[in-house]
Amino acid sequence: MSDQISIFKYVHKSQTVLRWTITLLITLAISLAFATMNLSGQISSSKKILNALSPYIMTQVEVNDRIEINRILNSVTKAEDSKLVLVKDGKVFSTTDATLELDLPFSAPLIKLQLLDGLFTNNEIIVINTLKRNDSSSASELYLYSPLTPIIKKTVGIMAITILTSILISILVSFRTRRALRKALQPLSQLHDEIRNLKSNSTDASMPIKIKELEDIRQTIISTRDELEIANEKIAKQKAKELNAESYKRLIHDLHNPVAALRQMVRIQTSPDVDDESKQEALESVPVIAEEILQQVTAAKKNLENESNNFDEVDLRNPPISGKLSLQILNN
Amino acid sequence: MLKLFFTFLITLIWISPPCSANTYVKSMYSLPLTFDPIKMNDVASLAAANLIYDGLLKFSPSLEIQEALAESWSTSTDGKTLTFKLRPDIKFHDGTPITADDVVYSLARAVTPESTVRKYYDCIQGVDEKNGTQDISKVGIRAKDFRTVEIKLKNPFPAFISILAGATAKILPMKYKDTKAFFDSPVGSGAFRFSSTDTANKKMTLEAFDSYYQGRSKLDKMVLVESSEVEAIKMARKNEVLDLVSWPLNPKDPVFQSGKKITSPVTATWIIGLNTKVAPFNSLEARKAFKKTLDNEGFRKKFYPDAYQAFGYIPPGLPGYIDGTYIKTVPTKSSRSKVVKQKITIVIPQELSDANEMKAFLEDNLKGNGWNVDVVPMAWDKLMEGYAKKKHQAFLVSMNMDYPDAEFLLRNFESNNPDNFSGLNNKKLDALIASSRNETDKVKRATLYKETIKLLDDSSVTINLFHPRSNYWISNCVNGFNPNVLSEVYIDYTKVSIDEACMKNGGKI
Repeated sequence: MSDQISIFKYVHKSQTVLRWTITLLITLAISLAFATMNLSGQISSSKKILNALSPYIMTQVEVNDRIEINRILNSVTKAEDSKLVLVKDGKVFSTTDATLELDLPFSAPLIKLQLLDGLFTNNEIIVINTLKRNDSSSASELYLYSPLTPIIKKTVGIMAITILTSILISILVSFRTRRALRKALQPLSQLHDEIRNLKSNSTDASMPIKIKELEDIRQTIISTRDELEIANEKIAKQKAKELNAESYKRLIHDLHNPVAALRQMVRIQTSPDVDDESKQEALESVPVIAEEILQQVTAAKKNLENESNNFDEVDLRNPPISGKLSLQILNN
Repeated sequence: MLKLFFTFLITLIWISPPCSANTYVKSMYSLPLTFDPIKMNDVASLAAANLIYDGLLKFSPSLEIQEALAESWSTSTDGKTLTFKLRPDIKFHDGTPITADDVVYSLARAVTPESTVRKYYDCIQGVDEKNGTQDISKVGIRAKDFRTVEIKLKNPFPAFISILAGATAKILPMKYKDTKAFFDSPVGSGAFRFSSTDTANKKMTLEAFDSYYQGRSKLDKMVLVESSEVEAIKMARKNEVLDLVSWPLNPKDPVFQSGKKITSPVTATWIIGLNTKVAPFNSLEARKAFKKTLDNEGFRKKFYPDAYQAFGYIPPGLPGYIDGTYIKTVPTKSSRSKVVKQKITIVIPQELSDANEMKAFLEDNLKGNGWNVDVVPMAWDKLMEGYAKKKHQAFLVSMNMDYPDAEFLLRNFESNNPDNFSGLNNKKLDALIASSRNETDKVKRATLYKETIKLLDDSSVTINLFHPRSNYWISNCVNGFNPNVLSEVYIDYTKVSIDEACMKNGGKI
């Protein structure tokens, strides 16, 4: 009994795992989609910046105007919060980072991952553009470093918002589900009441149930109840008949001796061989015997009346113990 | 009791750290030779001027031009008129407000005949390119109102903005124009104001200017100390000076074991300049022979191995720079017939720590090839005096870019330029420089520069030794130091601070 839970809790509980799974899956999917879009957008934007800068930078490289290149790169990175490095002949020609790096050999970044046209280090996304004229043998490279942290922060932020939103939606759905469940269970409760009423033989009015299947059950219960009542009556009548027969039998049995005795008294009265004293005794015992017979008949009549009433009250829906009928009246 | 007090006082002085907590001691090869911006031609003077004075504009560490005393500026559509709006509430060190009249006065001084820097300003309307202009009313600089200055140029010249950000375009208070001794105790508007000069101890003290428009410097004082490189390194080891920026240190110098090394490119070329006005270098053949003999690459490798080989006069990173594919200079033994017997004196700064080794190297190299050469280490001020008067036959100097444009380096060789140390008189070169100035197409301009360099190389007035990479020694106690790619002159000391705890610990972190 202790393992039993209400259908409401059962249904509600069975939804929990699904609900949380869906929440997490939605969160992951949205976060992943956002991160991918964001990264892709960042890389695409970086590529566009480099493509836009490259022709002008290439010209400045050709005329060796580092100062102009520095100005351009610095103005770009101020707006973009990133870092630009121009590498020429393996050396840092221009950089928006520390000027200390200028003219020193360029240390290529340690790439951890290549994805979506971008190169990833531990904390940066790098996009590279090669600057080369068709008629030139030498080439320079322009590196654009964008910090990964803002993208991660945005993704984590989106993730957090999605989780919160999903949880809120989940809770809201849960509340609505509970209400719907409760409402859905009302017909069952109603059916339950119907069945209970059937058992307690209540005379309360039976209301129709909106759920078709449950209404069918209710109708079945009602018709079954009616049939049970009819069957009950029949059985009661049958039993009454049986009891009546039994009573008659008893009566006949009980009347046999006194009637036989009465016949004997009559024979004594009419027999020439019997003395007058005996005849007088016999005559005196006739009213006694007749009284006994009358008592028997009266008792039998009374029994028949009582047993019929008792049989009417037996409820087949709630039969007596061991199923035997009570014949206590016959013992009176 | 008195004895005890004095003992205590002496002990206190004795245990005091070499530098007080917020006083920045800077070693220099020379104290400023002048505080007059229009007469400055040496790094020490320019560096000090950049501390004491301010201009309309300034350079960032990466050579971006930024507003200084001017809060904004604009250029007319024809490129000939520049208009500057001064910041409100800017003051000189004596509390006098800075006005447009002060700007006009200061810039007009730069175009006068006595200005040694007028070549940078001769693009201004009304300025006589040969002799300068005294009459300010004829010059295209005027005050439109209390805070607005207008400068009219003869032709569009975008590089002129660099001049106004440079070390010579400093703003002086007009009210002292008739004060003869003004430059003995100059008044500027820079982050530091002049306090005193101790000639005996070769020290100059500057104090932080409380009302500086960018906010007071983190340093309370700057002390400029003149010394040789050897003395400077000794002081650095004891943390008595906080930077050796003036000195071109070798990256492997042991002094770096006791401080920080900040390495940075700098736009300069070390040269041996040859004076075409003094024999034997008045002969092109002699100059060519001399140039071919001198082992410039050997010199670089021995004394400054991390410097870049110089194939031309223009440093890397500037239009006109030539790499090894354009000009190949290979030292060869010259034929004896081309060697000149006349004695040649090459002066080199005696303050260089390797001055004697350099002397030995050069003499060995040149004498070994038959030249009659004497290398003379000379005090810097004397060297500069001879340079200005064009007395030296040959001299070793670092030609620093004052402005980030090759124009200003090449102009040194214009015939009519008073600063033409070589005395070169080449009309074709003059024409090339003039053409490049007027050329607005960058690619064409760079091509003209390269042609100019080629011509210069053919003239053999300079032996290009190398382009240095600066190795700055900085004390461990210094924070916020940021080198400037153009020159040490433009290092921003307003961002520098000193770690007091480190100073108390004798420079150890």
